[in-house]
Parts: sequence; C-alpha cells; structure tokens
Amino acid sequence: MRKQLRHSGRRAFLRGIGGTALGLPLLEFTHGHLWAGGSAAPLRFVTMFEHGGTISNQSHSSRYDGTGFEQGEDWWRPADPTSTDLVLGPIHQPLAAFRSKLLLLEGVDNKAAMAQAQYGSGGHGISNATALTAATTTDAYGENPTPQGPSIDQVIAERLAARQPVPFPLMHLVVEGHQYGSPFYRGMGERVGGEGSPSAAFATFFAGVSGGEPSAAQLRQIAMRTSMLDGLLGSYEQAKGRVSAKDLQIIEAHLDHLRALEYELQHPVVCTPPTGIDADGNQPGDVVGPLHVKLIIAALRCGVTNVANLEIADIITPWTPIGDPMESAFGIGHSLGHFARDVGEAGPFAVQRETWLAEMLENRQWRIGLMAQLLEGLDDPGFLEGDRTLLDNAAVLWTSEFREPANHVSSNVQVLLAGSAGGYFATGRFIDYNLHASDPATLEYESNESTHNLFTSLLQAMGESDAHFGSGDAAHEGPLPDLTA
Amino acid sequence: MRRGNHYGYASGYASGCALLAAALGTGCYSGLGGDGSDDGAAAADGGSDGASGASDGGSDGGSDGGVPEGECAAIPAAGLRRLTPMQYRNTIRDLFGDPEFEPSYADLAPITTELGVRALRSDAEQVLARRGDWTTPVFPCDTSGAADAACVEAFITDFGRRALRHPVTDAERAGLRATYDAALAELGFADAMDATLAAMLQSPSFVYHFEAGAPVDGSPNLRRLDDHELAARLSYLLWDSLPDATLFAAADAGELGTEAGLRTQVERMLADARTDTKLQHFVSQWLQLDGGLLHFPLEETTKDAELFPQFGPALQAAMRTEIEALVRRVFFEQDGDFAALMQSRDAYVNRTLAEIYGVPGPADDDTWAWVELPADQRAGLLTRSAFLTVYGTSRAQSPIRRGVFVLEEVMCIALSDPPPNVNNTPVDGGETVDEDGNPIVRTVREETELRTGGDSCQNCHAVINPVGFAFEHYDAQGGWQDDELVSGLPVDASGQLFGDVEGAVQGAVQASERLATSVQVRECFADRWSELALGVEGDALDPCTQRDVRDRFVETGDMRELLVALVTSDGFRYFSTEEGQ
Repeated sequence: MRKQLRHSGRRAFLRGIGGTALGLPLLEFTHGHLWAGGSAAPLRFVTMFEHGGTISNQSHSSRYDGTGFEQGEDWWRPADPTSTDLVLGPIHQPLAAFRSKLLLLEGVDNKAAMAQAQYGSGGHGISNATALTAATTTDAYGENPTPQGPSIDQVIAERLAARQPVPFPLMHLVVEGHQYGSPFYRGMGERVGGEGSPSAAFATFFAGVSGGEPSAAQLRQIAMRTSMLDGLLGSYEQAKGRVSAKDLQIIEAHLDHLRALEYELQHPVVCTPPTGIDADGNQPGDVVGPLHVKLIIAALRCGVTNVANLEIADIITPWTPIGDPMESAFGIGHSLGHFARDVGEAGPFAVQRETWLAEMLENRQWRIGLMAQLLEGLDDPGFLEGDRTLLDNAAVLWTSEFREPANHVSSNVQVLLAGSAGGYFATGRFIDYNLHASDPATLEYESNESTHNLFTSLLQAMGESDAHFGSGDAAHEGPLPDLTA
Repeated sequence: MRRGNHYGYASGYASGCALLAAALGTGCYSGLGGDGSDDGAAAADGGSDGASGASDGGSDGGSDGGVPEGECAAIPAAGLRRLTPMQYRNTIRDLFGDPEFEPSYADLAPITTELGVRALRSDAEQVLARRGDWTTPVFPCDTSGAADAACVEAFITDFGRRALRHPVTDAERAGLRATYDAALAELGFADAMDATLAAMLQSPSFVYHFEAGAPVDGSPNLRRLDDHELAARLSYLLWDSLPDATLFAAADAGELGTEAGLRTQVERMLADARTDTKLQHFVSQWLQLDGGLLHFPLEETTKDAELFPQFGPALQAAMRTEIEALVRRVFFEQDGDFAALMQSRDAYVNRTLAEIYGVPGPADDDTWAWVELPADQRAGLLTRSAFLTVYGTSRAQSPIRRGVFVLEEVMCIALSDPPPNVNNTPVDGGETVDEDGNPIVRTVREETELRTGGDSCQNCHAVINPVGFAFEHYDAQGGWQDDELVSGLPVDASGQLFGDVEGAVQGAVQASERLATSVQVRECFADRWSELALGVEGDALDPCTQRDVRDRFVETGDMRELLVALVTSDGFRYFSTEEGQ
C-alpha cells in the first residue's frame, strides 16, 4: 500500500496545478442512459478526501498565534474571513474560475472523533474511522477503530442508484501513497479501498461501455460472464449454509458484489469511453491524479455511476524543490504535516518556516488543483442536463480527517462544497459557524456544528428526507443551517 | 504492520505505559511478558519431559488417540478465511504449471471488497488467456470438438478435486454444471468448458478455506479437521499453495490422522524449496521489511544521497539478498537454530555490502561470497543492514523505532500508541540551538533523551530508549560508526534490556546474544508463527496450543521443530463450535 512516489518532473506537476494542460476532449462523451432529456436531471455526488489535513493554526478550542512552536497560519481560510462572499485564500487559488460555485464552511467539527478519541481530539485511527461515517466505533482507542455504520458516499450511492439506475453505484479511485487507512466504509466494519491504477479502473468501469452496438467480442464476454454468474450466485447462496453465523456476513458481502457484477452485465452503457487512460498505479501522483479525475468526469457523463470518490493519500510531492535538510526529514507526507508544530517562532525548526510553508502550499495547491480539473470537466457548458451543467446538478465535497495535521485536530475539519445539487445549495459563499466569529481577530473557537449535520445536509440535497446521520455525538440533529438557496 | 497488544497493554497509552513503568520501578517484570517469565521457568522445568514428549505430541490432548479435553477443548475457531493474494497466485501457478502468472487480485480486507471480487473474475479470464503457458493438463479432452458430457464431468471431478483441495461435492458439481449448461446453450462447447474453469476459480470452495471438520466422539462442541482440510491447512501454512500430489495421496489414504503420518509430511515439506519462500515471507513480515506504519518497504526507502552515496536500488536489493541468504542458511543448513539466527556472523555479501560491513569481500557487486563479520560489531539479524536501514531515518539511526521493534516484535511487550500530538519528526542529531538560542551539536542519543524527557513520554520511553540505544553504532544504512555521521560526536551504545533478560548491555552484539538466550523471546517468536498458522491474533490463541508450541520451541530452539509442533498441535487440528458454528 505504501508506495514511494516516483515523479515525472516538475513540468508535469505545474501543468497539473492549472488544470489547463489536461486538455480533456470532453465533447466526445455523449450521454449514457442515465439522462435522456425531458425528466428531472440526475444528481451526482463526489467526495474528494485528502489525507493528512492542511495548513492551519487550528487547535482544539482555539487557534495558535504563531508565537510558540506551532506555525500560526491558516491558508485554508478565505483571504477575507469576514466576508460572506467567498474570497479565496491561498490554497484555493486554483479554484478561482469556479468561485461562484463554491461553498466554503468553517466550524464543522468531526464530533464523532472528538467524542470518542482517547485524547479528546483526533488520532489517525478514530479520525479516519469517523471522518465520513460520523459513527460510533468499536475499539476507539486501538489501531483499527471500526465504525458501526457506512460512510456517507455509500449511503448516497445506494439511494441514488435506486432512483437513477447505473451499472456502478459508485466509483472509488485513490492516488496512492502513505496514509493511515481508508475512511470509506460500505457498512459496519467493511472498510473499502479505492482503485489506484487508472488503467485498471478504466478496464473495470468502461469494460461494458460501447460507443454503439456491442462488438461480437463484447457480446461473447457478456455471455461468458453471465454464465459464470449463473453458477456462482447459486454456489455462494449454497455456501451460506456452510458457515457459522458470525461468518455469514463474509459470504453475503461476496454475494452482493456478484449481484453488482450481474447488474452491470444486464445494463450495458452506450457512450464513448475516454481515451488515453494508460497509466497504472505505480505511476506518480501527478500522472495518476489527473487520469483519475478524467475517469470520474467520463463516468459521470456516461452515466456509468452517480457517485465517485477520489482519495488522495498523504503524499509528499517529491517533484517539488525543497531544501536540505527538510528534504530528507520530510520523507513522507505525514512528516511534512508534522512540521507544522515545529516551525513556529519558538519551534526547533523555526528557521525553516518559510520553506515549510512553501512546500505545504505547493503540495496542497496541487491537491486542490485536482478539484479544479474535476470542476472544469463537470462545468462544461457544452454538456448540459436540463438547463444546468453536471456541476450544477452535483454536490462535490472536499474534506479530510484533520484540519491541522501536526496535532491531529478533528475539530473544524475542511469542508469545501462545489456545485449546487440542482439549485439546493446557495453557492459563492463563506459561512463561519465558529461561535466567536463575530470578532474577526479572535483566536477562540467553538462550534455547535458537526459532520453529522453536514452529511444530513448532503442527504437532503440529494433529495432524501433523513433528519440525522451518524452517531449521537452531534450538538443537534438536522442539517447545517443557512446552506440552502 | 505493527501488531496489536498481546500482553494486556491494550487499554491505552496512559494505563499501559504507566503499568510498564510501575513494573520497572518495582522490579516486577512478570507484567512485561504477561505470564512470560513464570511460564519460562515452567517451560524450562518441563523441558526434560518435553524431550521425550516429542513422540506423543507433548500435548494434553495427545495426537494419536486422545482428544483435547477440559480447558484444552475450548479451541477457538478462526473466522472464515480466503486465499491471500500470495496464496491465490501460487495456487494458480501450481494448478496450471504457469510460474509467470501474476494476478491483479490483491484484496487483503477481512470482508472481500467489490474490487476483490472483480479481480477474481479478471484473473480467471487471464488464466484462460494464458493457456499457451499452461504446462500441466487441464481439460481431459479436446475442447474444440463437439460437446462432450463425459469430458465436462471428468474435468469437474479430476481438475476440481485438485483446485478445490478435496473430492468435489454434489453441491459444488451442481454449481459448476449450472455455468457449463448456460454457456453451452449460448456459446458452444469450448467456451462452456472455459466458463466452467473460470467459474471454478471464483467459486466459494476455491476462494475460501472452508473447514467443516468431523465430529469428535464424546465432545459435542469439538470438531477435528478432516484429512483433506488438514492437508490444505498444512500446505498453505508451509507453502502458501495447494497440496501437492504426495500430500493429497496421504490425505486420501487417511495418513494425516496420526502424528507420525503428519510428521512425515511436515518433514518432507520443510525440505522443499517452497518452504523457503514462506519462511522468507514470515521473516520479512516479522522484521517489517515490507513496510510498516512509519516506514516504507526496504526497496522503497530513501537515504540522504550525500551521507550515503552507495545507497540505491542495487544496494537495497543486495540487503534483501543477504538477509534471505542468512535465514535460508540457518534454517536449512544449521538445524533451524534460532540462536544462530540471532547471533550468526555469517554474511553473504557482494562488494558494496562488504564495504558497509567493513570486511574484505568480492571484487564487484555481481559476485557474492560468504564472509565472517567482526565479532565485536555484528551478531544476527538485528545487526544487519536490511533491518537497520528500515529502522533508521534518511540520515541517522533511529533508537526509538529500533527499541520499539525489539520490545514489541522480539519480546512481545506491547506498547500503546503515543499521543496524537507527539513530535515525531525525525531525530537526526547534529547542529541545533539550545534553550537560549546558542548553537550546539547533539548526538541522536542526546536529542532523543531531550525530546522524550517529559514525564508522560518517560512512561514508555524509559523502556524504549535504552533498548534502542544499544543499536547506536549502526548508521542509517547499517554501517558501523564510532562517531556519528551527522553530528560527528562519539557514539554511546550503552543500553538496557528488560523482561527475562533484564540488565545493562553494551551495544547490539551483547543485546543480541542476550536476546538469543531469552525464553520470552522464543515464546514471542513461537506466538508470531502461531498467529500466522492459525489465523488469529495472539490474544485469541488457544492457551493450550500456545503453551505446547512455545514449550517445544523453548526446549529445542529449532525453528523447524516449532513448525512441526504447530502442525501437530491440537489448535491446528481441532476447533470448537461453541461460537456458533
């Protein structure tokens, strides 16, 4: 799982940031069977999850002022945090073209992690287990806390698939590297990882996609696979009688996956597949990331899926120039994040503060650059469903398990939404739920909002009527206030 | 991957390490190893009995007639397991005689993922596409001919028996026939045979290790693995692959029901090259050479190019070659002697490795030779470059991580995780500033002590640091250093060990020699193998089996005998149904 990232050179990285060099031939994608016009446009949901937090001075109940060991900057915040009109901060600069379609939220806590963490804040295990589930966990203090419920993407995928049938309820891709475990869970204890290889993902998700009538070879493959399933579904049903009650879940999960394969075979998609998806998971992040984004855009446009996850490991961007001795010390993105606590005025690495900030900014801007590429593909005015772009009919969530990586802070986690989910969200805004936000200079922090409420909002944005999502650790039930148009 | 707690320190950093510190403070070390030192004494006492007990299995239950009784009958059933990616790969390779087959299947999740199920399908299709590479017979007839009902039946019976590791049942046959009939109706005979084969490779009995067992007279909650299940368990333990023809024949003949029959097979299999592969895999996992929570795999580790100009892929590969050669030599040529593994000075080196070890060696990197390393510098696995490289930063040694490894993985003394806000940036020593801002140069040791000097840190680091400090003479790629590369200051390798080998040590040679004599270390090593063999974490091991395997290994110090003990143990051959089977 832990791969040393190779890199293809600084130039490729810089091209990635702007999102312009990708040159997506998007117009070649025609609509799949998801939307044929006339009816209400389908909704889509995308989660972009960055492991390892961001540049932030957020502590648990206050902010660092930079006079101690900790650096005192927060470059995730808007440039003007007093303005409800979103003014993009440093990390978000690659998203400038989409500012009016963003909704940046400050003051959303992962209260499930905070309530269950051994030390009252976060921790790799508990924060990953709750970041997208907001769930009660077992073994909360251990290395592998296990949430007792699914992550939000899985729930939305299941609900949307029931209304908007697709071959794949969701698509989960990952830019691989160092990380402490996937935050995605299919159900209690069923952690799911993503596909790291763009070419393998292409083979999977677009295998049944043809630009017209299926070829003879495709028809033969479908018949072969259908025949296999004819036997396998019966065999696994029969196998349920061969296991103990506690192992039944294993066989039932296997059966569910086989049924998903069966559904795909029965519902082939007619849509021109993307081209040029030719890298495997061993390629560097600056190659894999953009290809994953391209796959997600194509899959959503073709109606291959309604929901996509892009997980970005806590990778260092090794192609960025960094000076000795920080270079060797960073080693992995995790260490890079930890330097946040040592480059403050009084920190042991104070002299390297500027180097650290530059490196982190470049790294985090590269990540957010992937979001820019996604939004560019989804916001194509030449590809409308109804009178809106795909982005307008979608909700894209950017989040992480930590706001501030060095101290593993799970309060005030990053929440950046894009798209209005068919006009549900009022975008172009910044909302600060910090109860002390009326004082622009405050370092105090306290919030009544949680990811529980965020996920409830997202469910409601997707047309669902849920009043609550996750554990009982939130300060209140229901959605986040003030989000809707 | 670092394993969890095995000795009762699971409840958290504060409580776990406070207990540890308290135990140290009072000199009460039984807490360090749970029942370690006490059992160690018992094991030593029981040693002479065990020596003769080798013929009767040394188990309460016995192997040839008796069944586990009393508390020893409460053998927990491991959960349903499926082929690991390594087992899947080897099984396909052996089934088809296709040693180049590389699957995409890589699913290690406890509950299989959709990605995993999809990979099983694409890999089965890949097997079909590679038919030109098959070197063992698969189909009993020419499938390009007319539909042949006898052929598909023979295929399911004969090939299915090998693939599924037991005679095919009616239900399994029905499932495969469903695929065959559907494909025949749609596509034709050749495709129908292919589809049947592909379905077989995705079927429950192929993918999962089902173990139904057979009833045991007088023990309603106990079941004994049948001979084919036992053969499969044995084969996947030692070879990570399916039983060969000889083992299969022994199962057919019912020869695995006795310890003598089982021992015959184990000893035969231990001499096979496939055991070497599994052995290397185990050692690599144990030493975490394939990566851990805080380090990359050996082959993906990076080092400061100025400090370590020799470091690169060729050297990394050489380190792996060296450690594997040592393990192989000890296991196959030196009676599996664990003490030798921990103390040997034999090293298989090329030119660069010899330079790192400071000994005369081959003239180039393509030439390899066995050499003897300096007695005052090297002793066993823990003083070799591969280990020392992954437990180092990119610039310097890491006493904390080396100490944690020895405590947790060599001695099975579990430590709790540090608080999340711990400062875990690398400690490399060298130039820094003191509290008043004045320039100062510190060793790694000094900087480590400073970093971990707080009271809460000391709960654990009072134990971790002294163990790790014994390894200070080895730099970040395992080279010997009297003066540190980064700081230029002289090394202080005085340290301390705990548990049943408590006491001061001077350097890693002395530490390794001490560890090689430790009962606790041998018990820990035995437990790690038992976990692998039985598919359960240490705290879920059946205590009777655990005791038997530990005792035999403590007594013999022979890694091969450890495996024989494991395979002939009750825990390997029986399971309890009390948890709902």
